[in-house]
Amino acid sequence: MRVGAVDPDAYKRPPEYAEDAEGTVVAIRGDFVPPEGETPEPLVAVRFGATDLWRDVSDENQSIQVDIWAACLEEVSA
Amino acid sequence: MTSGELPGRGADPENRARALQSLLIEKGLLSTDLVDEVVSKYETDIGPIHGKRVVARAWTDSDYRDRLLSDSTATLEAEGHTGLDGVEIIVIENTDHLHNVMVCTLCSCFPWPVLGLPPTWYKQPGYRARMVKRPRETLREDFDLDLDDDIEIRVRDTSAEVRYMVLPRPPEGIENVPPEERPEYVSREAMIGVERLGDKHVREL
Amino acid sequence: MNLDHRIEDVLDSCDVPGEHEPAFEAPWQARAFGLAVVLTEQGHVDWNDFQHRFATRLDGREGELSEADYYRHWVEALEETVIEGMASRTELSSRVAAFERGERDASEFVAGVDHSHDHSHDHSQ
Repeated sequence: MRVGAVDPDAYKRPPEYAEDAEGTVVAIRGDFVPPEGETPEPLVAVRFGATDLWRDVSDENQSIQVDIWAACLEEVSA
Repeated sequence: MTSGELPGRGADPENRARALQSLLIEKGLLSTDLVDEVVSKYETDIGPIHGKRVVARAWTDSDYRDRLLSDSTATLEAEGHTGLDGVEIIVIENTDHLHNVMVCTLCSCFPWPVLGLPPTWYKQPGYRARMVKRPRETLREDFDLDLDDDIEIRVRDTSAEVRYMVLPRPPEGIENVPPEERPEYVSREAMIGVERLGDKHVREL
Repeated sequence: MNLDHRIEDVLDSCDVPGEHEPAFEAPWQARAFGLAVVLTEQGHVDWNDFQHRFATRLDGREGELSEADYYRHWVEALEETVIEGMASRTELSSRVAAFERGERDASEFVAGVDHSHDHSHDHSQ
């Protein structure tokens, strides 16, 4: 499953490089209380290939993995 | 976020910090003892030695290693390595073909309970920006770590909720080192991922 | 013995084995760190919230960030947090001024007993 990162409210936003990027969910981290929040929400580990994020990167053997709030993700049809 | 100038703007940071403490004590929100306790803990107790012991044990105890990798937080907590509530620590394994390296692009989140406070270089905006986009180059230029193109590099962006720590590959010959000396062969750099011990023999370390 | 003296003692006598440096370069940095952690432990501050404010202050910084720079931003984030509910802007600026003028100093931080000083009547201009 590939997911796209969209921008939500400031406290939960993913890092800049991940905004509007497509990555793959590799793990569910569990529920955590987000900043300024009260109820726990799921945090999801998403992996992005470096070449998918930056046009000026050619290393296919490089990726970045970051935990993103599920609320920021939307499913992309394969 | 508050707009406008901060109350302490222009003042010596020492006085700003003292003023905060003074006022907060007066408001009954904390005490000098509590502040002293935290500082003392981070100066004398919390530090990379804990991570080194964890790594050294994982190198030769495969059951422990499996538990550490499958449920890091619980395994670490059982040994007393706890930090701020609700924060998870996940230990990730480096192998011959996969190299993980940690960064925190948001601020400088770090797995304090096992590695202590982050070194200055880790906190640099430059490190954070470059490691994310050009890890192979940054490792080579800044850390003298040359990774072949066929070794996959996975940059792990740490957040406030989930912190990472690398379980580096052991150096050759570690099994011949007495158990109590093994932690000495682990480095903080290797647990961050900017050093690779597995390419070396213990006599080189 | 107050926090500053204690930290200075530790820094002086520091016999740090291995590759890492002392946890804090200066007593004020240790103090700033301690304040944030204690406020969080006592439930007065949300750690994520504080980190977010702190990170925002670091954002857009170019060039080398010294430990002093780092903790200065930390202090700024603390002030910002504190005046949003724990104390007023005026209270804090007056207190900073008092320390700047030397009317108050670290001797008021006595381990074991925290006095609630009211210095307003102690010093005449």
